[in-house]
Amino acid sequence: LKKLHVILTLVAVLLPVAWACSNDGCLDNKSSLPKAAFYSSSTGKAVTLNSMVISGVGAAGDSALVGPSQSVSELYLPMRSTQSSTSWCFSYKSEGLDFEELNDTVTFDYETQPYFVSDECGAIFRYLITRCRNTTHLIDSVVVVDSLITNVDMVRIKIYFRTAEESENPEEPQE
Amino acid sequence: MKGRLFILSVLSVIVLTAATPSQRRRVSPVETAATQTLSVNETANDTSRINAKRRAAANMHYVNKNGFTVYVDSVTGEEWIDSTVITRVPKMEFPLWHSVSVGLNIWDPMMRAFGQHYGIAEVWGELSLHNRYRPRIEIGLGTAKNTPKDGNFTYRSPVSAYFRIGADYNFLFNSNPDYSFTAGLRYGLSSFSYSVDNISINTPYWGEYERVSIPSQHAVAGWLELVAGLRVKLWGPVSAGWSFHFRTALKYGDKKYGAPWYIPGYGTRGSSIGGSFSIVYTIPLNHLNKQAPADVDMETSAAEVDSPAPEQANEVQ
Repeated sequence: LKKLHVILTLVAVLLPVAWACSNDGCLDNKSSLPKAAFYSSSTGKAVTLNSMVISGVGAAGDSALVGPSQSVSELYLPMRSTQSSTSWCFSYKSEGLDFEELNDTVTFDYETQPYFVSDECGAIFRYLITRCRNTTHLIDSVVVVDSLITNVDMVRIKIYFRTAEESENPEEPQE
Repeated sequence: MKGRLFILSVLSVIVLTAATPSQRRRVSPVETAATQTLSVNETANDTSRINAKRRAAANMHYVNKNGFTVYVDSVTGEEWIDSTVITRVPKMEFPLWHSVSVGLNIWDPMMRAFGQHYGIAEVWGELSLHNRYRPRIEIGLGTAKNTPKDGNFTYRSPVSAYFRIGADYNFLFNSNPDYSFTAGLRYGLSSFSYSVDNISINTPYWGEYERVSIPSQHAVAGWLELVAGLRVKLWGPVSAGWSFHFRTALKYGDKKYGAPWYIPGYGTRGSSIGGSFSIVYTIPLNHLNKQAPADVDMETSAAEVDSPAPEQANEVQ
């Protein structure tokens, strides 16, 4: 019984010493970034596009998110927290498509709401998309998978392009 | 003269007639082994049995914690246990009303010294039944103010109360009560409010910066805890207790602006483990277990006898 008492006393003393604090860190994004992915409207499969410039309408210096030399299959389209609407311009730079008339624009209308995520991820803005508009030159359609944009890293927007197989005369804009 | 002789002879006949039977028994007694055994009371002069009968008749007795009936001599106050009686040894070595303990949980103040940004303190009360079952209630206060170093906000939660109710089971219930190793279950409840201020959000691509606040929100949270604890006597009635808490099943409802980071009594939302360190003061409840006073006939002189505590009786045995 004495041994038991000694063991209990030792464990009781060492328990706080052995105490370990856990910090999981932020496993998601630290801001709400809607992830967009590109698909072929004819096959429905994911596609990788190149020779395309994607830039925000009204961004300082018309800075591009994606340059013409980059290949992209999905990307984040950050919303403007000070506005209730954000527009993105898709310019095609491949041969035969490099005309301003063929540029597409995608516009999102949304409501902004501050949201406390956690100690590690902090506070963010969450966006509730209320409306989505787009031109249909080379973009066939835009599907909002989940209208609530949070910091969870998942595809929220699917953009379907008219691919070469389907488009017989891509030079002609389809407004 | 003749008359006197006649009277004397009649009297002598009567006397002789009356004396004859007794003389006959004396001369020829009926003595067998059976009659001898029946007629001899071997315990008649056993003073211990005489005393036992006398003490039992006085109705002054109580049952000690080992299940033996302790008789009290109504004159001398001497205690006497009839050890020949077969008693069933109780499963519980300690009496039903064993002790009551109050504790001050100073885990949060201690952890604040190491950089924790929440918690105040907690008091609790516990009843020990047979040194085995320990129902308890805990009441505490919690508050939080946290501005993480790399964070973009200040979290505030004003002082709020919380409650826990539950019970522990002492695995060392028949051992030295100075030590205990327990496991238990708790249900916790807290009503509190919280706000998030000084939120700064940058959107580098758009070159935008905003500073906003989330207004105060109210929440009621409930949770379950599994607890394992140790307690060690320090000196006298004072002991120290450590416990490990695994918290689960937290409910606080859907919150428009985000769930609370700190729940008073629970800790931070993301961590399901916690701890406590308490300074405990224990008050024995032996006086509630005495059965002797109830059995004493106060009208007898035995009422003057001051019955000792059950522990003392056990030593006599």
